[in-house]
Amino acid sequence: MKPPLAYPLLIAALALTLLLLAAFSMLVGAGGGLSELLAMIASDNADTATLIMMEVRLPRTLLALMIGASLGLAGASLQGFLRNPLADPGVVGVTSAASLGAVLALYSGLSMAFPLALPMTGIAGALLCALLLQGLAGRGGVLSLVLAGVAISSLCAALMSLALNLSPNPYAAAEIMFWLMGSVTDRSMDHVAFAAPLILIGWAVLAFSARALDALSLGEESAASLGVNILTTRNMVIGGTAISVGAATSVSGGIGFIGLIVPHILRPLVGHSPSRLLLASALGGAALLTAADILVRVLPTGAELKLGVVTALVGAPFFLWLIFRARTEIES
Amino acid sequence: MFTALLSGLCLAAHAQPQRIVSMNLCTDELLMRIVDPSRIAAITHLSQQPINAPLGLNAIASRLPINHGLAEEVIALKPDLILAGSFTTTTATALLRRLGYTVITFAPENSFDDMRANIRKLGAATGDQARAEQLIADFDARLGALKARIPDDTRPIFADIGVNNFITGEGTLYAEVVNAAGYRTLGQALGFSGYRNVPLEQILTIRPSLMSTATPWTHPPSMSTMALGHPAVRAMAARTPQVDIPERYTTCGAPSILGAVEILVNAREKQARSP
Amino acid sequence: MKLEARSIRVHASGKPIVNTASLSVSSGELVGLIGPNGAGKSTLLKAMLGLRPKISGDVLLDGEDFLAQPAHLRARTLAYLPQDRHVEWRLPAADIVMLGRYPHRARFGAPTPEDRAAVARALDAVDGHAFLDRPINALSGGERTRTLLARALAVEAPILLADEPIAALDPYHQLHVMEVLRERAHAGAAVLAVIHDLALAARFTDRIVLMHEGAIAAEGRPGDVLTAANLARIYRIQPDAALGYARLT
Repeated sequence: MKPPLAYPLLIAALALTLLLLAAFSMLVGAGGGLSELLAMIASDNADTATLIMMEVRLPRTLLALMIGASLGLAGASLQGFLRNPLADPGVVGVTSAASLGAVLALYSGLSMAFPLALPMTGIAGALLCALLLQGLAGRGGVLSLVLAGVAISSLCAALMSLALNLSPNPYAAAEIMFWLMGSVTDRSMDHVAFAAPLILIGWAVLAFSARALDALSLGEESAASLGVNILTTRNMVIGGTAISVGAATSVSGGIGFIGLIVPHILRPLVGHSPSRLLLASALGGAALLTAADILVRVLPTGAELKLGVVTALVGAPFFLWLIFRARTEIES
Repeated sequence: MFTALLSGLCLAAHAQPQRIVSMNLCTDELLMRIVDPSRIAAITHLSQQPINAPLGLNAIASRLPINHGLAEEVIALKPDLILAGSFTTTTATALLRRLGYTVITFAPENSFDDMRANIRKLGAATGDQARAEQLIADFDARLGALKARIPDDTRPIFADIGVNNFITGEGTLYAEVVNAAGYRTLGQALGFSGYRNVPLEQILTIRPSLMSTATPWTHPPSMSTMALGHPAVRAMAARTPQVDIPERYTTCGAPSILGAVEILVNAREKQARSP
Repeated sequence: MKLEARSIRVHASGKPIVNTASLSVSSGELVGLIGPNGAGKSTLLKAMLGLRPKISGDVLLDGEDFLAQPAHLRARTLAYLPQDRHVEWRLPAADIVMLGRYPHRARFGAPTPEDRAAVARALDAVDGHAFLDRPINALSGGERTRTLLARALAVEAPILLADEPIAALDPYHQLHVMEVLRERAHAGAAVLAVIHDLALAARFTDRIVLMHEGAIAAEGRPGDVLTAANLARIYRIQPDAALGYARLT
C-alpha cells in the first residue's frame, strides 16, 4: 500500500507550506499588517517598519521555525528509537529539565542579570538531564531509558512546583507561570544567535542516527545483528534531543504536543519509514508551530495567548481523535 | 539604532522627552500625575479599565493611546523614553534596550519611601523634577492631615484577608498604608514580614477590630476568592465592622494610596466614637 | 568458511544456561540445532552473535576470533533471523527486506542497484513478489515469516543463523522454508537453524546437533542422533510411524 504522495513530493509540499507560513508570519503583529507597514514606508517611517520586521518579527519567525523543527525531529527520532508512537521529547525528561533550569533562574532573580542568563540556565538543565539519563539508564534498554526519563521529569516537575510554592515574590511566581506556558514573543536576534548553533548541532546528531532507526524496526536483536550499535544510537538520540530541544525550550519555555502529534500524523504519509519521518517531521513541526504563533497574534483575545496554550489546545482534541479512530478500528 | 540616536539629539535640544511610553500600570499613574498629557505617547490598556483607573485621572486616561506591553507596538509609537516595571514585560524590555531605546525600569514599592524614590526617579527621567517634588509634597501634606485625625495610639487590628488567604506583614506597602491610618495588619499582629499565605486557623485566632474582604474581583468568582466564603470567615465578618477598600488604591505605590488611608481613617474615627 | 563455537558458557542470575557447548557450521551444510525447551539453543546462538555476554569460550571464524571484529564487518558475514517476529511499524514487505542491506549501505543515500538486485533475489527465494507492497501487519503468518527470512537472505552473508524459522507455520510453509534453507546451504552458505520439528530436521539437514541442559548431548548424521535411546533420554518420547508429506506445486 503505497503512501498517497511520493516522498520527494511530500517534502516539497511541506517545504512550500512552511515558506508560505513564514512569509505570513513576517506580515502579522501588533505593529501592523501589510497595509500599515506599507503606509509607514510611504510616510518616511521606513526605519520603524524595518526595525519591526528585522528585529522583532524576524527573530520570532526564525525561532518558531527552529523550535518547531527541533520538536518534530526529536519527537520522530524518539518514537523511532523507543519504537513507540506515543513518545515525545518530554518522555526523556529533557523539556522538564530545561524548564527547571529556567525556573530556578527566574526564582533566584539570576534571570535579571543579563538577558541571555535565562536561556543559558535552560540549556544547562537539558545537558545535565542527558548526563543523568546516561548514568541512570546505564547499558539498559528501552525500559530503563523511559523509566529514567520519567523519574527525571517527575523530579523536575516537583522542584518547579516547590519553587512556585516558596516564591516570596508574587511577581516572580507570575513570571515563572507565564514562562512555563511557552512563548516566542519579543525574542531578539540575540536569542536566535544563542539557540541556532546548538539547535543545528542537535539536528546533525539526530540525522546521523536516522538509518539505524530503520533497522531498529526489526527489534534490537535483529538490528544488532545488522551492525547497529544500540548504545551509540541511544546516546545520539538522547544527545541530539537534549541539545536541540534543550536549546529550544530554554529560549521559548514549555511547548508541548508538537513532538508527539507531527510524527504521528505524518507517519502514514512517509510509508512508516522512521528515517524518512525525521525530515518530514522537522518540516511539519516548523510549519505547525509557525501556524500556532500566527494564531497567537491574530486571535482577538485581550491578552496575548501563550504558544504552549495553543499547542495544548490542539493536542488534546488530537488525542480524542486517536481514541475514536482506535475504537472504530477495533469495532470494525 | 538610528532612531535612538535621533531621539537622543532631540533630548539634548528639548531637555525633556516628548514621546513617553509607559508599559506598566503603576508608571502609568505617576506619569499622568507629573507629565503633561501632550508628552505621553501611550499608557497601558489596563489604565483604561474602570477597575484600574487611577484616582481622578479618568479624563486624561481615556483620551491617551494605549499599548499592551508588546515591543512591536511600542516601536511603532516612536518613543524617546520608555517606562516599565522591573518584573513585567521583561522580554520586551530587553529587546527594546537591545535596539537602543532608553528604558527606565521601576521596582515594585514596599514602602512610602520607595514610592517617593520612584516618583523622584521618574521626574528625573522625564525632566520634570519640580513637578515630582510637588507631587511628593502634596502627598505628604495630605498624609499629615489624615494622620492628624487619628484619635489615639491603640493600634487596633485591621484584618485584610486577600485572595488565597494572603495577608500582609511588616515591610510591605500595604502595612504602611494601614499603619498610617492608625491600625496594624493581621500579619503584623502575627509577627511576620512580607506577603504570606496563612492557614485560616491562624487568622481566626486574632480578633480584629475591622475587616476588609470585599474585592472587585469577586465578580466573576474564582478559586482564590472561594476561601473568603468560608463559614468561619463569614462568622468573623458577622461580628466585625467592615470597610470596602478597592484594590486599585493599594496595587501601586502612587498617590492613589491616600484613598485607602482616608477610608481607614474614617473608620478609625468612627470606631473611636462608638466602641 | 567455518564458524565455530568452542566451549561456550553463558550464565544468567548465577545459573548456567549454556554449559560448555561447542558446535560448528561450515559452508555448504545445513545444520539443525535441536533440543527440548530450555536447553539453551537460542542463548547459544546469541552468544555466537555477540548478543549475549559469555563467561568463557571462543567464537572462531576460520580459526580467528570472530567477536573481536567490528560489528559492521561481522554483520556482513553473519545474518541472523531471530525468534522475535515483531515489527513495530507498518512497513511494506519490500522495505523490510531492504533493511537486510543495512550492513552494505552508506549512512546517507538511496539504495544502489546492487541493493535492489539483492532484494529481488531474496524475494525470489521466498516467492514473495505477490505481497511485496503490502504492509507487514496485513500479512499472514506464513507471509510474515517469509518476509523476515527474505530480510535475512538479502544480507547475502556467507553464514546464516535462523532461530526457529518454521515456528507457527502450517505444513505447506514449513516445507517451503526448509527447502529455501537447504537451497541456500547447497549454494555455498553455512546455515544453522534451530528446529523443533524432528521429522523435518531429519529430512532436510546434513548434520544434527542435539542440545540438552546447556550442553551438547549428541552430534552427527540425523540417523545417528535421533536414536530411540536419545529420544527417550532427552525428549522423553518414543518414535511413531513417521508421517511425511510433500508440497504440491
